[in-house]
Amino acid sequence: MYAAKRNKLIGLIYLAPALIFVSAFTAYPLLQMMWLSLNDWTLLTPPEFVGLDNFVKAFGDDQVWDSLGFTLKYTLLITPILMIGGYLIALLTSSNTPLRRFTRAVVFVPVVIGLGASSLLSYWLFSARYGLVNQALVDVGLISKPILWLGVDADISNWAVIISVVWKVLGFGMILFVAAIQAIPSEINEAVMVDGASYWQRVVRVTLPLTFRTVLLVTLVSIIGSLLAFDQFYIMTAGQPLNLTAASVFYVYLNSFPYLKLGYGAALSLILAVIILIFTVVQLVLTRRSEA
Amino acid sequence: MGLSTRAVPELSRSGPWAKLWAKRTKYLVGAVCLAICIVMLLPLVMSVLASLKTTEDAASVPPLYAPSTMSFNSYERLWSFRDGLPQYLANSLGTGLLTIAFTLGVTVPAGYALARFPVPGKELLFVFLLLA
Repeated sequence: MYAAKRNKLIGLIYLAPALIFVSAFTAYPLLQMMWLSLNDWTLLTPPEFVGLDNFVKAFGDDQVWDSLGFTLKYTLLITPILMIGGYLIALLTSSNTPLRRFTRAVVFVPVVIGLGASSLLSYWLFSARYGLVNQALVDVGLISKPILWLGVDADISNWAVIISVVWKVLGFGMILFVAAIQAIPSEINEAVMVDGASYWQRVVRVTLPLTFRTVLLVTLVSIIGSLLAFDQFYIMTAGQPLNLTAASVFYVYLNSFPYLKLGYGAALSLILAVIILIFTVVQLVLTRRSEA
Repeated sequence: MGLSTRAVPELSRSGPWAKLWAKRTKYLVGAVCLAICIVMLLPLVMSVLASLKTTEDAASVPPLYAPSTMSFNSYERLWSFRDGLPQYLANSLGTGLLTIAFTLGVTVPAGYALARFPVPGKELLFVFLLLA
């Protein structure tokens, strides 16, 4: 009896630093943010309690819907590119020959660059006057005059950002896919080959089903990452033109800091958090089902 | 592609064409690999080349692909920027090492406790810690 009680106490003492840390730096700020979302606060005057006004305002704010729509569009465009591209490169390079290993390493290189740094790099490459992308396209003869990539047309800006982020993130999915493909026991592949299956039959019937969990995991990580996109838009477009490329997190930032509407910003980020939670739950349910 | 032909060549494709087909696939894979490498490396190569340009070259319109004269001026300026680059690298290293030390110091006992001791409300505490 005494020993059991003592063990409980020892366990709690071991846990205490982690619990204090999480309480102080995660739970407390989260509660603070929820409280803030019920207030009007400009940093200049003390917070003023307004109840659910911020949320009501958010649902009537056209820019909120535009930002959410744009973020969803960005996510829907970039996720298939990352998944299919990453998987194809993984299929291509999953066996260990020197050239394939080298290709794998090269595709992974941009992953270790910071997103901020890679966005600045693309900002320079895509710039209308100094950018090498336009110069190369003109020199090859694909276009006659420079394209204004960033901040003039929402769709073209979106594609420029997508190209830049795909370049940076592609290797992350690829490396996980390669690991999953290499983990497939070779007996299965040999059995299928003896049965006379072609390469693509093998991919569709064996490789894809056996790496399905990894595909789901990478899809989830990629969707959450795209819904939370901020750096790339902050650096490359700053929401231009007319806030048409203001992704959700960028709009939260705009309200919180340049506009100093901290309560409204907090409410918006709570709404975004709920949306991401829904995505996560759906994805987890799908994963569970695939297990059974 | 390469795998199937290497492991069980006679089964999937037989006859005199088999060898030719295997060779073709091999070269095709090599070409695609090289193309991917070039596309992925090009932005990095371009930024390295730009870092070796003089300020005038870097700001020229239309832009230059390669520097007209080599210049390490940018690197010199970076090295001696304000407190000097070594100071900033040391800052990063310090932050990284302290982060690792703190994370291990906090998480190792917590993990040990959750695995080893009969802590009341274990599942709830676990989820709470996962918040971070």
